[in-house]
Parts: sequence; structure tokens; C-alpha cells
Amino acid sequence: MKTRVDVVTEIGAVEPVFEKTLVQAMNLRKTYKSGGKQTVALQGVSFNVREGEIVCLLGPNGAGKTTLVKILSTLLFPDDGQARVMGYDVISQADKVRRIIGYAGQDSERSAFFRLTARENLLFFASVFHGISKSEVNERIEEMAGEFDFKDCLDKYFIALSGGQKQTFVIMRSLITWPRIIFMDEPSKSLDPLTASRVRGYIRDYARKRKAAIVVTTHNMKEAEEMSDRVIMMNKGRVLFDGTPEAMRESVTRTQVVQINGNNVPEEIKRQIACLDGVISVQQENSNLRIYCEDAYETLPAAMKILKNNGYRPTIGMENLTLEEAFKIMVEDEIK
Amino acid sequence: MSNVLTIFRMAVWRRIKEITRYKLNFTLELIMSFIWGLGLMIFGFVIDPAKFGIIGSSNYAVFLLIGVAFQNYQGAAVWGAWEIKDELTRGQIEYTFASPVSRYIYMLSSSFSQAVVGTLFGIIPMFATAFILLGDLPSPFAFLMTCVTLVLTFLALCQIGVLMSSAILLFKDVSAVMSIFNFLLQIATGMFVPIQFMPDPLKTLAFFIPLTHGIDLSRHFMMGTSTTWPVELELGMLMVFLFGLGLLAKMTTSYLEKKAKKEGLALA
Repeated sequence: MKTRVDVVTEIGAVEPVFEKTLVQAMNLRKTYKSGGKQTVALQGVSFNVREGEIVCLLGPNGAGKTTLVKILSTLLFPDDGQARVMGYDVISQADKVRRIIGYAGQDSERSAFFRLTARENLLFFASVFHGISKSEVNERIEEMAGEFDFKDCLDKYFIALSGGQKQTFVIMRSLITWPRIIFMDEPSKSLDPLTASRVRGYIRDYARKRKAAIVVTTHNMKEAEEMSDRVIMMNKGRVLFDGTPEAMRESVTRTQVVQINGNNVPEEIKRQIACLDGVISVQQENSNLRIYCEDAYETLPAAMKILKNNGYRPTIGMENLTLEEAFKIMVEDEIK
Repeated sequence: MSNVLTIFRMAVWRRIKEITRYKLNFTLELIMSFIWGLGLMIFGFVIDPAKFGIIGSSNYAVFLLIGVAFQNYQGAAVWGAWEIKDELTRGQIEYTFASPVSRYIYMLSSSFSQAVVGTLFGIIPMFATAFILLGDLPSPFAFLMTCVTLVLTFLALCQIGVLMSSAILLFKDVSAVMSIFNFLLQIATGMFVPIQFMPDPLKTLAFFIPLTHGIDLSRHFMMGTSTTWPVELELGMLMVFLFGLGLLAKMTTSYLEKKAKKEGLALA
């Protein structure tokens, strides 16, 4: 059996190599029928996730991400196509799949018993749903609570937890059985930046140490960029892109970025730059002015000339598209 | 994968934790159940005992106490269903269904836990009170048969709980069905009035409700009242209900899962 190995590259960076496929989706199709109306959710989606790999599913609302996760978690049948989790078919061997997966769904913030404490809830779910012994569960609870800074919350009633704490609980619950495969639907929802970062770090380490395959749906591009080894961009039930976050940015070749640092560029200058040939749009993003253009080598000197002519000399340069910008462009292209 | 005993044990553990969480409320609920029992016994003093000659006992107070005690199992039949509805509303059902636990056993455990709680905090104290009021302990055989009756009724009603839970997952809201069911359990099972007094159509309806036989047989073994139908038939009916409803509940759960997988579990 092949396993994941870390390969030291020529420049000394450690890059993960993923070898064994744990999740396979093959030409999955799904249409919802309700009240005489049909909604196409998936139109032939295929992808693999290998051990140790974290894959983020990206896409606008209604792209089919949640449907895909539900099929892989055995909650839904596809109309067509096949899916395998650690070699088990999600339809005919659903029972075996459920034993090896961890699941954190989207509506999960209320998905526990309100009159039990977080610890009691975790004990209940792990014992009843997975048959883990009390001592083993308690050990795991303590360990995870330490990692997630959740110790003070363990003995609070679930109802008394904040939204972010409930979400942390849900993530802990999905990990409590040491699953090899984890499906998470918007895990960072309601988490404060510090906790979200801590959770991302834990999930990354978990995937590496446990050789787990993790599929995450998210609208948070920062999360996708920080956490994932691969992103799968979906829209209208189809895969638009499957590759690393860097490759996704680079794939949007028709748009390049010139950035002017500072948020005090006068409106008149912005208007002049926007009128340059090849400029698609000019947008103020926090403290920087980003100029989206077809060819940055053409736009940069022209923009510098306008700035200089107006007696204005801010720092200016070429920049990469962010993942969020690449996401928006891909979705806009799809709409066109 | 959890074994069935762990699931049932943990379901009871959770239920007891939940109901005892708020001590004042729990104490008041216990007191209220006794007050209800005592309140209902008022009827025992205002109803002419001579009218009860037909059933072989004129002790209407104990007659009523045993009937009312079975209200605790009424909850078992519908509580599991409420819990499933609650899980559906809160979004917990997806986590449950993505886990390897048997759907049938999980739903059954929910009703079972309520039935255990009902037995501990309702049936046992109320039956003990009935023994005290009767002033005479039943024979070991009568006691054993009362226990057998209780267990059969308890388990048969739990199957109804699973059926109700499945109905909720299939039709999303069956509150009206549950209300009708609750009404039937109180009116058509001889809980307050001997079945023998009822018109024939209601008697026929009562025959097809497990609680009827549970109440009728318990009174028979504890008080020596006559049963509406032969004892063997009533015990047999409880067995038929248990296995028949059990089979139906399993089949419904299986159908439910297939349907849910085609259409999703979301509350429509």
C-alpha cells in the first residue's frame, strides 16, 4: 500500500506528495424534484481526494457543493455516477462508509442536545453513534479541548455556548472518532479569526499526521488559501477548476493586476486610469487601489505617467490576483 | 459500531440528565403527576360504585389510577417522534444519519428512554399507590403477569413511536395525527371508563390499540376485574402488536431512508 511521503525539493522546502486516493467521485449527477420543479444540483462532477490532502470546494450559493458533500457522506443518492470512500461505494456500502467518516454539516450550530453540556454531548455522540468507550472519549475530549482552547466550555450547557463555541464543538465532534475521511460544510462559519486560524491549523496537522482526506466547502477564500492543498471551483453543478490555489489564480490569465498602495488616490486620477486602454476596472480594496487590466506591462507605465503628471508618486507595482478575485472572475465568466 | 444495549443505555442516561437538569422543574413535575393522579381520583368518590359491578370491582379510584398511570407510556409513543422532529428542525438529523447507528434502533431508543423514564417516575409510584389503596399485595403470579403486560405494552408503544418518527421524517409535520392518536389513547382505551361501557364501534376501535390491552390486563391482574376479551387473546394481541408494529416500523424506517436519500432530509 502506498503512503504519503514528504519530499524535500531542491530548494529545501518540504512539499507533500499525495499517493493513495481515499475519495473518488465519478460523474456524479443529481437533480432535485419538488412540486413539479426540477433543480439541477450536479451535472457530472468528478474528482479525487488523496490521503493527507485537504480539498476545498468553492463556488457561489447553489453551485452544488453541499449536495456533493451529502452524497459523499451517504446522506443523498446521486441520480447517476458513482462515489467511493476508501474504496467503499457510498450507495451499496453506506454502512461501511459511515464508520470511517467524520461529518460537520452546515446547520450544525443547533445540532446537539441543549440541556446537556458540551462534554456530555460529545460523550453521547461518540458512544451512541460510534461505540467508543467512555474513557477513550474522555481522553480525546481533553486532548481536543486543549488544541481548540475549549476547556472552559466543556462543562457549559450547549445552549449557553456562543455561536462560535457551538461551531467549535461541531468541528470537535466530527473529529472525535479519529476519522480517516472528513467532510465539513463551511466549518469556519461563526468562528472568530483567532479560533478559525487555530481550527485551520489543527485540521492541516490532522490531515498530515493521520493521513486523512478532508473535503471542506467554504465561501472564505482566505481559509481556502491557507488550508487547502487543492481547490475545486464549482458553479451550477459543474467543476470549473481543479488544482492548487496558486494554479487557480494563474488560470485566470485574461486579468492582471496593477496595485497602487494607499487609499488617498484622488477621484480624478482614478477616472483617468479607468479610461486607459486595456483597463477592465479600478477598485479600492482596503488601503490599496487595484487596477484590473488585460496586460499589466501596458497598464503599469501608463498609470505611472498619469500619476506623475498629476504630481502624485505613490508606490505602484504588479500584483497577483487573490483567490477571491480569481473566484469572482471565474463566476462572472461563467455567467457571461 | 455501537451495540444496541449501549444505544439504549445512553438514550436513557441522556433523558434522565435532561429531565433532572433543572431541579425545581423536575420536582414540580413529579409533584404535579401525583396531583393529577389525586385529582382524577376525585371521580372515584363521585361516581356510583354500583355501576362498576359489571367489571368485578367497585374500586373506581384504583381503576382510574391504573388507567392514568398508562398515560406515561402515551409519551413513549409520541416522545420519540417529537425528538426526531426536533432533530429535523435543528439540523441534527444529518449528523445522526451520517453516523453508522441503525436508524430504527436510534428512533426506538428515543421512545424507549421515555418509556423507561415513564416507568421509573410514573408507573412504579402509581402502581405502588394502587397496591396501597387496594390494601392487599397481588399474588406473585399476578405481579409477574402485570410486569409482562407492562413490558409488552411498553415495547409495542415504542414501535408506534418509531412509526410516528418515520411519519415525521416522511411528511415533515404530523402534529395533527399525533393529536388524534393522543385523543384516541385517552378516550378509546378504557383509561377512564371501562371498555365494557363503550358502544360497539368504539370497542372495536379499542381492540386495535395496544394500550387498551395493557390497561385492561393490568387491572385484571392487580384488581381482579374482568377483562373485555379473554386474557389469552389480549396477551396475544399485545404480542401481535409488538411484532407486527415492530416489523412495520422497520420497513417504514428502511423506506424512509431510501426516500430521504433521494430527496434530502431538509425540513420542507
